[in-house]
Amino acid sequence: MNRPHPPPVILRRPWRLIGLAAPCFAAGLGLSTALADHDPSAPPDASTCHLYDPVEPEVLLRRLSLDLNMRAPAIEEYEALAGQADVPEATVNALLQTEDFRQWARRFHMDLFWGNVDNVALNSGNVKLNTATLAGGDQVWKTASSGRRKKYRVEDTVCQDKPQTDIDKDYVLGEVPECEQVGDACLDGWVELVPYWHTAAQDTVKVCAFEAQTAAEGLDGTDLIPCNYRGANASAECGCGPDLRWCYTGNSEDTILTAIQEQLLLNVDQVTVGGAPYSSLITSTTGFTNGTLQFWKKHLAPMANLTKAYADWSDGDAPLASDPIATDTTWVVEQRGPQHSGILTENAYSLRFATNRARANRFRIIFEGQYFQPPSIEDASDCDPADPDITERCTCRQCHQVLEPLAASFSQTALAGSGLIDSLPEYEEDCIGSNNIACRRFYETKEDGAKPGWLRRLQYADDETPTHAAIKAHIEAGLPGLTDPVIASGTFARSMVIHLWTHFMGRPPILDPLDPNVETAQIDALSQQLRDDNDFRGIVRAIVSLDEYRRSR
Amino acid sequence: MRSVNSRHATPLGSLALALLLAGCGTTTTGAEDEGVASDTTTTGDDGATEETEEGPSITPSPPPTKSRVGKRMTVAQLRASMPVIAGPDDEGFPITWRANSGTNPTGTEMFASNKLGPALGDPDYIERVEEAAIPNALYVKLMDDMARQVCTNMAEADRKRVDTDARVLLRDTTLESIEPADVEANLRYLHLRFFGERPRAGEDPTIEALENLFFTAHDEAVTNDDQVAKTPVLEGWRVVCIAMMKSPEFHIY
Repeated sequence: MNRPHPPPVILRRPWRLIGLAAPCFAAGLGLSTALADHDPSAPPDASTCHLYDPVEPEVLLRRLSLDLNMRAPAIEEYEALAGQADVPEATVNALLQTEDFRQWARRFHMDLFWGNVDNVALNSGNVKLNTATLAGGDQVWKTASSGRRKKYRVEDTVCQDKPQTDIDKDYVLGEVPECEQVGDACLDGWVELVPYWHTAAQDTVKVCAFEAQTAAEGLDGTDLIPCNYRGANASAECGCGPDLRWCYTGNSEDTILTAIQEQLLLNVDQVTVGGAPYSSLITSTTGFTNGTLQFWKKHLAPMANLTKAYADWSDGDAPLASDPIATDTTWVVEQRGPQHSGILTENAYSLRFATNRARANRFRIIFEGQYFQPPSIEDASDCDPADPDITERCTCRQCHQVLEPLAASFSQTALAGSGLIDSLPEYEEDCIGSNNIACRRFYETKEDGAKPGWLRRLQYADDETPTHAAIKAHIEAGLPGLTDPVIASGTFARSMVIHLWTHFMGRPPILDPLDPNVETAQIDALSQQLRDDNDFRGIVRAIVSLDEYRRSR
Repeated sequence: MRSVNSRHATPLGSLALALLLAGCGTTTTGAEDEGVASDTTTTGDDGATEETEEGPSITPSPPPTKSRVGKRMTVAQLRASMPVIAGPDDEGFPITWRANSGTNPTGTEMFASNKLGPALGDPDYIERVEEAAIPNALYVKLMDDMARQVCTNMAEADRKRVDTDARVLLRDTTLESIEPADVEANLRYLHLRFFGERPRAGEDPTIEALENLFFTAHDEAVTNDDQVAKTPVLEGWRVVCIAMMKSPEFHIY
């Protein structure tokens, strides 16, 4: 066996930069910035700073593949570069066309939009079903609300383990069931049906007969109330409706929330790989929907208590199918009304950022590259620290005089919800002093509040101060009043270029004009390109083609 | 059984944290390795050159930073990259870091959101809105776990593979060879596969170090029956694989 004599200690190849230290200092002094032709087979040249060397093609390929496709290259991809001085442009273009690139673009935008809404509560127990185990061991669906169970059966209990037809042989599915007195309770039996979360081909499930009621209206005391709208839980004659469509389940809620995130990402797909102008990300009235979301908007969202997410369908939304199928997960394009504006009015953005201030602040960070910072000095002159108008209150006003007008642009969408509220009456006199939940949700109810009886979003929309006037103007202009100037001024393009630069370079660009390495010119050029071409792939290609990206460090 | 790999792989892997943080001028050790550091100067953390007895003092400005900086792979990148780098097992299932991998080749990936993805920093955009892709102690520890499992499975898959051309870890050598030429050829191949770099022709310190590691692990297995893999040669390659998978070149791009 011919074996090499092992070295006395385990050496490892010096980290690339380590070997560069001395000549790089020279480069830093301006003494030598000579670029070496990089030949991996050549011995290291200690007199040359390799800081500005282009990396070897294999290294660049790994960099490109990880950055654009989120995976390391396969060995075959490396070996295809043998003898090549650079990664062919065709290879870069191919990386920009893959499914992995689409997934990367989604990830990049999720980093911006934080579009996970899994923690949003779409419903309350009043309109939710869960299962109980019957005496015979089978599962039966029943309302998750203790109050509603009592309303049906006097006591907080579930139905008996027998078919409802055993109690009432003339029972017709959906009717108010007769019940049997068992102690103080009056108990129904179960029925079998195909719920909305099953396809027609799937099995039926057992549901307590009270919960399976399908009447359109029921009595709440002496008032007739609709059974397909919030508040229906007040009537024992209201059930979960045909195929249980007026009640959520835990799984159906999860399915909806997952679809909401996918809806956002389909908008991203459209502008990153789908050929739509990139700026339409925040302006488009075209959206995406599927059966799950249509079913939610049509049947389930109107049932949710007003303490939960408000997502009612509005005239400004795309029309809904007459009978959407909850299990239909096929995505289709929908045309929304002019109130909508790209992802900014999509369910995910509105639900993830629950207040108009949060929506505006995130918009400002992402698309304007601006951050609010608390003032460093006390602000106490000519102001009231308890002023109910936050744009006038000491200290708060320093940010909120900017933020409130921007927030007003989003005010057509409900707080803690995604439903449009621009069709609500601007003024409701009955809401003054009212404890009604709808009043408290949308209107100023305090008699000593600012503009009692008015929609909260309009409370400060007047001409009393320049800020109020700006709020009023932003409400009237809607989101286009916010997005159009940002796009037209180039701010949108510049902000997105900076996000992309930071992502690919691993550091933000140097924009300090006093820094000798200032990179304003590069950012200007890239921003102009994105502004002119409005092409996401194109700007990504441009950034990864820069010398800065392809250098050794 | 005493673990060979822990003795040999750790010196390489333990450099990770320091090297990940290294920048131009922050370390002189490597420069000395390549013979570029002067006996007359020392380089401090701030990049300044200190005065010595033999020469005048110069205080250079920091090196230019107008380049991309190295980034650590994210959890998503690791998740997608491991099957590409590790290849399939002998039954065709992609090798990656899995729960109960020894008994379930399709078990849940450890990078998943219901496993160690969150611990490694994978954002969920609710509680964690950005991934701090830094080589902290937990990351280094878990990557050690990953490397040991994945490399063991890679070695075992190659041992079982009928089609020798389909080998992944031992592609440019054989299951029995300890010929230096074969070892070097396979190390060069692995260097490209794992790091995306072609070592320099001729002598290369990385190749030499890994060669030494291979033979040391192999010899330990022969002499002391200290091995996880089925044969001493496989054990050598398994240990090399672990060392490479733990190295900063693997994690930083």
